[in-house]
Amino acid sequence: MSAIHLLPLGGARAELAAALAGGLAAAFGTAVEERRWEVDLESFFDAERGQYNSTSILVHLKRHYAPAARADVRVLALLPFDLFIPILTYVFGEAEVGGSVAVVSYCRLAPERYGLPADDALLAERLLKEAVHELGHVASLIHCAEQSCVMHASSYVEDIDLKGPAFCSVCAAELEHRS
Amino acid sequence: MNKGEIGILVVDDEMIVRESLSKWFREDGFRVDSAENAAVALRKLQAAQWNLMLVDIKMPGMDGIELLQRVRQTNREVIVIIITAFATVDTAVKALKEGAFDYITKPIDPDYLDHMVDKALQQQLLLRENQKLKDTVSELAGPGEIVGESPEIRKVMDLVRTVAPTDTTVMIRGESGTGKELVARAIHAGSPRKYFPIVTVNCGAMTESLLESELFGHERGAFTGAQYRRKGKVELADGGTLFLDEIGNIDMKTQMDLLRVIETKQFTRVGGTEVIRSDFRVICATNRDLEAAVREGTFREDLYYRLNVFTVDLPPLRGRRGDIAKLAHHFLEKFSRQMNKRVSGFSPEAMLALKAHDWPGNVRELENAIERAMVVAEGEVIDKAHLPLHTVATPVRDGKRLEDIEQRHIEQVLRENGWNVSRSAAILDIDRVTLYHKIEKFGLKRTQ
Repeated sequence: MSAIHLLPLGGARAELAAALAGGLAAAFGTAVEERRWEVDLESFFDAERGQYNSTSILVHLKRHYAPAARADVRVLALLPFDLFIPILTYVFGEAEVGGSVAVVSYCRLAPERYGLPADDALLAERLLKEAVHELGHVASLIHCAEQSCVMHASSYVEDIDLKGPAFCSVCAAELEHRS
Repeated sequence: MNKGEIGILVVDDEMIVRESLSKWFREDGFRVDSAENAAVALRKLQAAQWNLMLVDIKMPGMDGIELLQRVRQTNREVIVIIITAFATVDTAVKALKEGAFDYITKPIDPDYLDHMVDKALQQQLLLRENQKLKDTVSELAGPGEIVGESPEIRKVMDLVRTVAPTDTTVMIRGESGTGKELVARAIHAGSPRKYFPIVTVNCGAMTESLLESELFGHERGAFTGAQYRRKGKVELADGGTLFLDEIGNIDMKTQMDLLRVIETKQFTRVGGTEVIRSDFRVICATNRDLEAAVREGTFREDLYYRLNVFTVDLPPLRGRRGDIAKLAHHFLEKFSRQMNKRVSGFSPEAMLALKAHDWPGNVRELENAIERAMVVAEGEVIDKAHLPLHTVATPVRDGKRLEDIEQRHIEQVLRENGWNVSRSAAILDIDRVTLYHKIEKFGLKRTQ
């Protein structure tokens, strides 16, 4: 990939987006451009569940944003809202495996959601791990059995805290091979 | 097991559910496919191997429970997890009663889903390992495996019962495939040595030096490639039974070594000086005419008398045709279990063909024929067409293949030399063990 376009949507916090851009640039060794994109997110809102449909957001990104970007650009939408895919109760993010777009939310990553004191540093760290994880899927990587690898599957925030922000040697080699 | 080797089939009429779950499992590295209804699922289940199925309970046409019932009729291994929109005690109980591993309610908690799938696959692995162990144990079991009720086999079983509790050396004689090793195991299982191992040595399958090292072991550096000290089969049989299969095929030097160890129960490893003691009982087997070999001078007379203390003669299968049906059903059940197939019997034509066949390869040939028939059989009954009898019944003799010419030539040389194997082997410029293998392979027999 030649660049990552980071799209903060739905009023995502600017300082979190800025920190994420820096982290992604270091993780992938590529330029990260923060872009503004106007989109009506309400059409992706499921009133019954009180959540946003991440699959529909991905499809929308793919149809309406990606064609305008260069072919070797990868797109990551950043949201403050809770996301779901229809069969599951929630997801932290979703990606087009082997494609060009991904979406990540920090709604469930904030410590205060679990009755703990706010900790922005921890929130930024978790967000970076999940964003790298989803962009790893975009680069065709699958879940990794290595506990410390960022591609290790995480369903709970505790799982995210247990893994590191970097790819293990196997995933790093696979990423290198695919790029 | 590599996750890519594990197959998950998602069955749901809603496309979004199929796509979401498929994507979820693909990200985990599983092999995933989906089906929009029960009919498609059954076709896919037949076409490929699946470890786990996630099945929506509510689908138009055949619902999830009915699909589960159909799956269980033919496949006892695949794990089925039922997906329901609203879990009620009734549906849950019904699904579990029909053989589902568990049920899960929509929308699914991602962590719960991952744990349930992990747990299910773990259980499947344990069940498979358990089945493998059971099969191994049952194959190693003694007298229970000797199948048949004919007077001929009853006589064999009587002899086994008589000789087993003693410590007498036993010689089992019979054509290839008659079950000589099974009888050896039955004798061992009925002896006071049953809590110690029965160690088998296939004497016909090895060269002189290999057999020596196999029997007596070797010290480190005894020969090129001997990087470690290795215990031989004689040493490993200490306390138990040493089963020497194809005893008629061993060379003169090993015959002498063997005679010494049988008489003294002492030996040294190849390349070693330490005298090792081993307390073992000897059971041997052969399909050769040992008396003729003694007359020809290719088998030591003293070893012959040392081994031929108590003889059990195994009849060829054509000599106990009354057991063919029972044996055929025994193998059918065995492979039915192993292959997870619901084949329950034979058509009358198939059974007639089985009983009429000559079985030159004996019980082993029958077992192989049933295994092959089980592979190709699609219904619940094995038909005559499924049996490979036409290919194995008559050896090809008039063909133009190199193998046919070799067979005819070997037969001619043996005939010209009065079936003197050593002389024939010298003329053919091959060693005796190779010639014995060829005789066995082509099913050559001495005719008057």
